[in-house]
Amino acid sequence: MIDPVTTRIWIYRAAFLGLCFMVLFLRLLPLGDGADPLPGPDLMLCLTFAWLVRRPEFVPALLIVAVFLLADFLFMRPPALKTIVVLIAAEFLRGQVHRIRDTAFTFEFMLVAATILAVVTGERLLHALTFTGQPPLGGAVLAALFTILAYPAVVLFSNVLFGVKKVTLGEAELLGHRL
Amino acid sequence: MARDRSSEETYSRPIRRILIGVVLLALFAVFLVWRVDNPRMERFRAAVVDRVVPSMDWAMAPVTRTARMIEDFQSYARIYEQNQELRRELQQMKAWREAALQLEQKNAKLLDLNNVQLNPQLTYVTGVVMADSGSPFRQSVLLNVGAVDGIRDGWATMDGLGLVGRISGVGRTTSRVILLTDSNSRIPVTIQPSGQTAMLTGDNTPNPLVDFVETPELVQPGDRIVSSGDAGVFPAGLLVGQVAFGSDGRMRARLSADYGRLDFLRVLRSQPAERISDPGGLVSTRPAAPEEARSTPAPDTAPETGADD
Repeated sequence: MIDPVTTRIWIYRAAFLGLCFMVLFLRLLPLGDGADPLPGPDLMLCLTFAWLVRRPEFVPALLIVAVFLLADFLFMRPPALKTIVVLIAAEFLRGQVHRIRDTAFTFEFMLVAATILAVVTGERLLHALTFTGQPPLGGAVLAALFTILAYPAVVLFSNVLFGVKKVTLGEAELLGHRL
Repeated sequence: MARDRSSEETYSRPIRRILIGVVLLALFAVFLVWRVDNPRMERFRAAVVDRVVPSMDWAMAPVTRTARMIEDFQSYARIYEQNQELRRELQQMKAWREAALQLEQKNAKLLDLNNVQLNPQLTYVTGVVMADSGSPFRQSVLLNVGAVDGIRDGWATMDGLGLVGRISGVGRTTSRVILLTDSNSRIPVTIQPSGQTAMLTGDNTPNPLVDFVETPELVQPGDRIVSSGDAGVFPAGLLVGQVAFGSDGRMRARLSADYGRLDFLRVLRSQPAERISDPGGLVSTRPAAPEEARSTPAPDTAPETGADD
């Protein structure tokens, strides 16, 4: 018999993978001329952080690596560069999970916003250190801003549609050592 | 359970740290390989795209179609204005058609006079745009033709009217086209009536910059921009667009290709132009000249077509 808790975790991991593929897919659709002046939010980053902060066991590090590496390859970015930054940021947030769990959303939002800014800064820093060409600063800042603004929406979306919520005390006992 | 958990934590946490470190190192290695051996990694990237994107194709088609239909439906709302606009344009077009007919006859006569043969090697492969991985930072589209169809890196891509971009990255059944608007795109062009050469530099805006014009005073807005064929990047004489001046006063190109609807693209099979690498026999006598000349990847019919004159 498979432990129902384990099954649940794997279902959610699959759901995360599916959602990420959906985001990739939407980005790949041949709509518009690509010359949109406003960069869209990085929904994948929002999704990863939102789920990570709520249920870290749903987004293991390897899954994050796989998804972001694929995105790097598909979107003509230097491979693995963004993945490195995101993985470090994700591990940082994973360490903060227990602190976030007991506080209001504002604290979480501020922490995640700071992390997103750190991701963008870190990415640009790595670009600069390795002398790879990088996108203009204005666009990157705008993209970071939109990503931060999209975060609450993504949280709401995960909450309502997928039921990814913070662990309550009762559940915590049920899940036992998994936390 | 509680004791179990704490002991597990003391052991599993450092192990986890180490594993994450290993993954990070591996990722960094991937990045370094890309930095050092770029072509190989880009080939790998092309292979990844080759596998992933066509498998999404079945889902992409209906979504794209629906979005296009909605777009078309929105345009019904402005049908009266559009009709007026079209009438006006039609009127202009009639005048142009007359001019074009006259020019065509004149051109035919001149060609006849010169006994010119148009380049028979300039044939094309038509591909369908599969995916548009454009973002504000990178502007490119994916075509459904690849190495199997004989596509090679660097070939020019046009829609029905004007130049769209160049092939950059070929997979087995897909290839990527870097658009002229991408910030990595640089092509040499000629501005038509004045014959000024310039550089068309993409900067991620819909209208790329026209740079390095020797005497900008000779260039008028509305002048035709065609590819110049310098440096063997593109065949000469492909229509690119018209000169326009941006609000910042810099010279820009209004592209002829319809970037809003890139559906079918033609990839021009261009052969590399032959290089003249050795001094002629009259200037100096060198016995071993023919060996080097043969080793260049010249097209099979090229040596006979009068390169020796």
